[in-house]
Amino acid sequence: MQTDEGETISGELPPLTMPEVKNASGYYLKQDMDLIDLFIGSEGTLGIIVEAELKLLPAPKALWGITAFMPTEEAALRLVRAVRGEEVDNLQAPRLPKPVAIEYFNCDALALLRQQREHNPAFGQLQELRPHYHTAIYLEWHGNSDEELYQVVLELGGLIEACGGNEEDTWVAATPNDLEQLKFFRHATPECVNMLIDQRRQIEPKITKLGTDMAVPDQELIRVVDLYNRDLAASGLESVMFGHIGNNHIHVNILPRNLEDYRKGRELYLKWAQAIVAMGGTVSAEHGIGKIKTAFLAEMYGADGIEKFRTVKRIFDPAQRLNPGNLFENGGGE
Amino acid sequence: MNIVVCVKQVPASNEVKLNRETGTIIREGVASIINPYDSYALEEALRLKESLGGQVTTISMGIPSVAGLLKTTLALGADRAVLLTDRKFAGADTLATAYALAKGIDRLGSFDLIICGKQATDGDTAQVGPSLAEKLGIPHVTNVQQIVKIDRQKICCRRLTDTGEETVELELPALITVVKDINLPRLPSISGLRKAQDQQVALWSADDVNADPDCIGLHGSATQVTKTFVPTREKESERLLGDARQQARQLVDRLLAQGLLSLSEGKGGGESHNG
Repeated sequence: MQTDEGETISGELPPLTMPEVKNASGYYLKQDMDLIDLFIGSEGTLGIIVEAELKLLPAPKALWGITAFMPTEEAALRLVRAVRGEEVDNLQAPRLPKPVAIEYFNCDALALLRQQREHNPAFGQLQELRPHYHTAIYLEWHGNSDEELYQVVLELGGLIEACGGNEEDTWVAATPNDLEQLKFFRHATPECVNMLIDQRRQIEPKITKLGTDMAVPDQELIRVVDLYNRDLAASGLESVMFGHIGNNHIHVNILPRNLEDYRKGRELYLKWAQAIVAMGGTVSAEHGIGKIKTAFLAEMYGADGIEKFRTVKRIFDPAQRLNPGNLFENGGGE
Repeated sequence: MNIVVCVKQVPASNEVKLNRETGTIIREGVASIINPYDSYALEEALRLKESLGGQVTTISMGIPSVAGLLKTTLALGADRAVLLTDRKFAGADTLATAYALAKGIDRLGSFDLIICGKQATDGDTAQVGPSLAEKLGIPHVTNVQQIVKIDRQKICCRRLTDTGEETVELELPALITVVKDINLPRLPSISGLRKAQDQQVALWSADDVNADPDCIGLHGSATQVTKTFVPTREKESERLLGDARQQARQLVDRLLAQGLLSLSEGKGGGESHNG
């Protein structure tokens, strides 16, 4: 690689087997790859981007968002898999176009929102969450016309019913104002979580939110949700789960009430990291490794994988100046 | 209880752009929505229907594509939707609009209550609701934030005023205009969309409602828009420099000079000016 100043950076990128999931853990390494994919998500450890030319995608002509409230978590998971086109319990389901987003809010997230809506005026503009709404799935489609998406949504209605839901228990948004309401709902959960943790930190400043960022392959979705539910129930920890279920990428937010909860939560986090790696998943699908998840990265790629990352780091940053401590516990050079 | 809700199509409120040369609203590529205040009107009507029974009819005047917007009102739970659409209605001001709506409502038959949004977000006049009531010869009350009580004969409303609130009782049939504090409008459901799929929006022309050609459209308008422009905002600001005490002193001096503040001895508070 030739820099603008004429300096040559050369080296061989080692081959690496990466999980077949949405992934933001460690460097992206693949044969015949575009170098831009190495730099994106490298957490500032390989260089500093001083200029970027962006190519924009055209804005969709039509955009519809639908929140479906399912009566059970099982029904919600069926819906997610059916929308993704998977075979689900002999369901004769129409094949829908691929949605651009599938998001998930579990019963604890909805309970937290109900509570905040009642007591906190900042959330007074949230639509009513009826008592029988158990788990919410948000779906978004882009298309060329409203008529096209109207048909998609009617077919979705049939699918919701086939999965055990009721098409009456849905919010459909096709205008900017209505979409804004669904966006408000989507963002309200993490906001409520942050507010709650801020309150608890006033009593115990050492606790923080413990938010996971892991993803697994499609076929492991049911198993990973089951794992989270079982472990959380056994631990007695307070939590909410929400996030990008389309990519099997659920954020489990553990809400510690005290230091003992915090300690238990961290133990669970490490346990899940090991289990998810065994399922062929990733310990970080979105937020990256940073400085506090370096042990998870080692868990995922092993000593051999970490050494390959160090090789890459040495090619671009031989003096080890860039973001020391990110990705590698003791710097990238050792 | 038969309720009529007047709705208007407006550009999505946060996306209004003006062509600086012609002074007209750029509508291309801008999403159209139900005037947000009319959404509160429709929601209130649907809640009344749910508790008292009856029918909700939505009515609008506009170009044929407004029928799509009226379909949304059917998806939300309205029972019937009517669009007054005719080239003869074009260019109407609030007076001509109120007349056309009154003629349309006349054709609808009997009603108990008309609910409108307090104003439209594009024109911001707040005139159509009260004008419509006058045309129909029924009592009205504006800026309603709560329906306190309603029965077959009367409606009791709490309304916002410039200085607070007041409670008003009206004989039905009547018209009210509502503000956003009154409720939180629902979102359509897929089952609502499915139901609306089979319902038709009635399209009525000027002749269908027996409108007098002299009272509709540009011809029937008492006002005409000759120019639309974005007002220039002139802001004057002055920075008061110095430490907090000096800034406070300067602020008090200016307020005194403009007669906005008076210092009266012996009534307390005098010390604070020095503190």
